[in-house]
Amino acid sequence: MTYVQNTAQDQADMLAAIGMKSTDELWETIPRPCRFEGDLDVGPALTEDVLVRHMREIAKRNVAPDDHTSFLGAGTYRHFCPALVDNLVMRTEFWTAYTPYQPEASQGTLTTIYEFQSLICRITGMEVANASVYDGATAVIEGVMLALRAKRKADKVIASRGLHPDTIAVLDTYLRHLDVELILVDLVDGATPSDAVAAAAESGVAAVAFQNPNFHGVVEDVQSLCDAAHDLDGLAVVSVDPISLSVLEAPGEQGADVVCGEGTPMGNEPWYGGPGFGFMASRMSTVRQMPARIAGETTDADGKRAVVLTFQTREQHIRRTKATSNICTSQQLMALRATIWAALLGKTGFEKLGRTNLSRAHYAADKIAALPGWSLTYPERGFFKEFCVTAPVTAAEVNRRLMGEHGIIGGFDLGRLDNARSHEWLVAVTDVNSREEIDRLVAALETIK
Amino acid sequence: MSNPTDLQYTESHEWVRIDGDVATIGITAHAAESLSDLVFLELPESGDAVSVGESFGEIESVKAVSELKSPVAGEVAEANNGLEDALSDINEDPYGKGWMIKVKVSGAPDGLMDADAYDKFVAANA
Repeated sequence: MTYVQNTAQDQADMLAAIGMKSTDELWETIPRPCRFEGDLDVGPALTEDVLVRHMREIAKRNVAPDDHTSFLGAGTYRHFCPALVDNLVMRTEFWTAYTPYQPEASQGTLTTIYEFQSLICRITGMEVANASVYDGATAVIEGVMLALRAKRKADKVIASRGLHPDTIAVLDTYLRHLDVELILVDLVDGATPSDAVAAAAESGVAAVAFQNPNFHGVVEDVQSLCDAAHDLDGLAVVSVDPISLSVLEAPGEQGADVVCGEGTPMGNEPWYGGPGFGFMASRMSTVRQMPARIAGETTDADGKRAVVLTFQTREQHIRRTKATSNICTSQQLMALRATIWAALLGKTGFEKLGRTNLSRAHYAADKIAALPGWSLTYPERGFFKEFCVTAPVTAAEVNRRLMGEHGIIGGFDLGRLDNARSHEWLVAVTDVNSREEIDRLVAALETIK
Repeated sequence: MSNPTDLQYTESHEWVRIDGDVATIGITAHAAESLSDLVFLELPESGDAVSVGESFGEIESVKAVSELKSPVAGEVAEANNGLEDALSDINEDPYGKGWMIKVKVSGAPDGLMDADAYDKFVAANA
């Protein structure tokens, strides 16, 4: 569908059709005290060239990974994205499209959703995926809500502290307003202990939620944790780094009931913290508890293949307050970028990408750990593209010197979350970090004692 | 088919058969016909409480989703779980094999219609 603006005449015709004289009449129901009266404090309008110069001046003050070597991850990662992704998503059919109602009029859009869902099922080892949700953190809570709907009498959710702190904050935000107890399980030596999960509650558990690799980059024992969830008669909600699925076993093969996560690393950039998307996949047995849009393949009246939005009776536009969830849209453009990205890489490229991340991160970890005064915080634990090191000085000091003396953006200072961990530093090394960059980092760290 | 005279009916098209303190509940032939092709049924679990006029489940067809409203108050003794995989039973035998839940009632139901009143109600609202 092409996007065409409304002209002033179009607007006048629409107002006349509903018997109004101006658009101001549309806001009449908003009480006067709630209305903003006056001008916004953004200064006068600028001409295009002056505006561009002005924005460029502001942008110059940013220190961005675009022009600085960066080893910062902690939930946001950069990976290679072919230029063709930008080129294709900017087609007007994709770039300006929103949700067509009636959706079946946009077979192209629905087909891309179906391909996206298929991709997610493939890499997660699950049976059905939705068209995407807002982000990774809300994907986890939606997985937990799915479990609460499926296990109607349950009132407890067990969550690992290995989940990203923002995810835990979101879980708390939602669950604190429900009659559900959120039980957090501490990590032991960087990983989630399945015996502690098993002992965390006796009954009434809807879900056990954890992340793999976890916030410290540690690869968890997914099978044991899923088993622990099932022993408690709960569902296993596993949040994963989608890039890691190129080398790690699919959680669907290890007993996961919901696989979700932050999809942004596939075909999107960190930008300024967004936009990104969350993905979510489960089994057909719980499909009716799943939120958000789901595309399905069928045949039309002429027997030709067609794609539709299906299981719509879960959704808000049909069930209103009784809807499974308020989500009735998707992060369509970002999910499309991921789909194109995956199609360009293909299965072989995806696996190659994963191995590149794995080997670069391990190369970096080995070199850093060999420096006097430096060590891996969890030397016995496996990791994918991110790992935790213990530094001879505070991580904050490391980052200050890396930026000040070398123009390098360092890893995440775990002291920001806990003063007792001020010497712990979370380093992300991905396919965008060349060997030369890693060597420069190590040489710089060698001077920090 | 004509509505069995030994049953009572609600305005939301459920029927109920009372046997001592057990009420058996389902939806009428008229409801099943209006819904047409049924695709999904969600029933409560035994032990769940139900109250008069409140939803005890939902039935979904290709046309719409409808709440199933309880004509009685009490506790679900048994749900016809096999029905979820045999939805055509509701169209073919709504008063027999199409039964949905059995409720141990906590009081005699009132405000229900007999078969005659229900027939008139359906005709008036057609």
